[in-house]
Amino acid sequence: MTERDAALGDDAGLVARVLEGEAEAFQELFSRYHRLVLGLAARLLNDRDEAADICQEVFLTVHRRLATLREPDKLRAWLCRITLTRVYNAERSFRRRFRGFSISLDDTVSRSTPYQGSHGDPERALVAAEMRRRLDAALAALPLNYRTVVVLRDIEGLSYDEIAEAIDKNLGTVKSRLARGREILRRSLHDLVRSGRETKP
Amino acid sequence: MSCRYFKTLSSDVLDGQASPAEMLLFDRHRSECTACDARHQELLVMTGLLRSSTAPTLDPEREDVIFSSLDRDAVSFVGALRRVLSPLAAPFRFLASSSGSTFALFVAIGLLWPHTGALAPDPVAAVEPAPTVLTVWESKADRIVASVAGTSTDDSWSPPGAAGPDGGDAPAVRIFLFERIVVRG
Repeated sequence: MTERDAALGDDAGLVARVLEGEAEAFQELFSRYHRLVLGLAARLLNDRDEAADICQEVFLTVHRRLATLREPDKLRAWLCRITLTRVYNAERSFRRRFRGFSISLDDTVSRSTPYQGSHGDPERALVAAEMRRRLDAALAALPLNYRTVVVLRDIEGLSYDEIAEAIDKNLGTVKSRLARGREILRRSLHDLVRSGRETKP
Repeated sequence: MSCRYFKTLSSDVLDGQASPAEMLLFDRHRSECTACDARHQELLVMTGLLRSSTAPTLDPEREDVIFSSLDRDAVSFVGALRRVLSPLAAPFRFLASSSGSTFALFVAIGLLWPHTGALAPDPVAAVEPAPTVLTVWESKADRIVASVAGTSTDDSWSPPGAAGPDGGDAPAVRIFLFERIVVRG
């Protein structure tokens, strides 16, 4: 059993402890999953401040509605679903507010990149930063439907079943969106991944 | 099989979601098609890059803000009320969803169906034909010889000796009330 599987199996116990009113249990739930919620929101919205607001809203909702969770072992998918609802609402509201405005995607990504800077060799750090910038820009250019499944699978590591649960779609839709999203991303990062493939031992 | 099929399958293979038979087909195709092999390699590199991206972190100040808001919610009356009512609100949330509202609509129609008679308009009473002047044709001068008002329940009734201008029978009369008789030459 992997560490992740163990954590998943433990979710039901954690939920039970929170519902019993154990003070530390909610803190444990927060520290286990706040990175997932924050990462998902930050990568889908490309706005770290907005993502932090969404993170706060999501945990407030969890605090209030945890008793309604019917299958506690699906806590991770449930959290993603709440986060996605908030993200889509924020995205819709953003589009409404700024309809007709145009902004530079590169500026947005570089200003609000959710990733930490790398340390050590400055040249390597520069190359890594450039690679991340390209990756972020390509991810940000993906349509939201595809971006959601790519982030959930390739970055957050959710299973197909969990993604289906989180986006409220069937497995077939998850597979097709993932294949399509990855293909679009591969095309936009073609030179980057080709050089990566050629330098691969 | 076409490269298009393997393009879709490539993503499943990457995640270990393809069946053993599909894996075998895919490997065989990759050994023959350099384009599909290159594409699969690029997908591998790309997903590797995505997986290696570091997770964002929350500022400690923001974390404090979140926990203090949770603490406030825990002790506030509204928060407590929400937690108590939240499980009870599940049916309403279901009804608010699109499938729930469709379900509710069908249930409402089913419940109201036996009472739809009460919603139907009252049956319309039979309308009696308006009083009509009955004209009787005669071979001599055009003059009124009688003015009669009365009712008849006999649909086939017609004045004695009545005939049309072309010498035929007068049309069937469905009149209950008439006022006068005109005689024409």
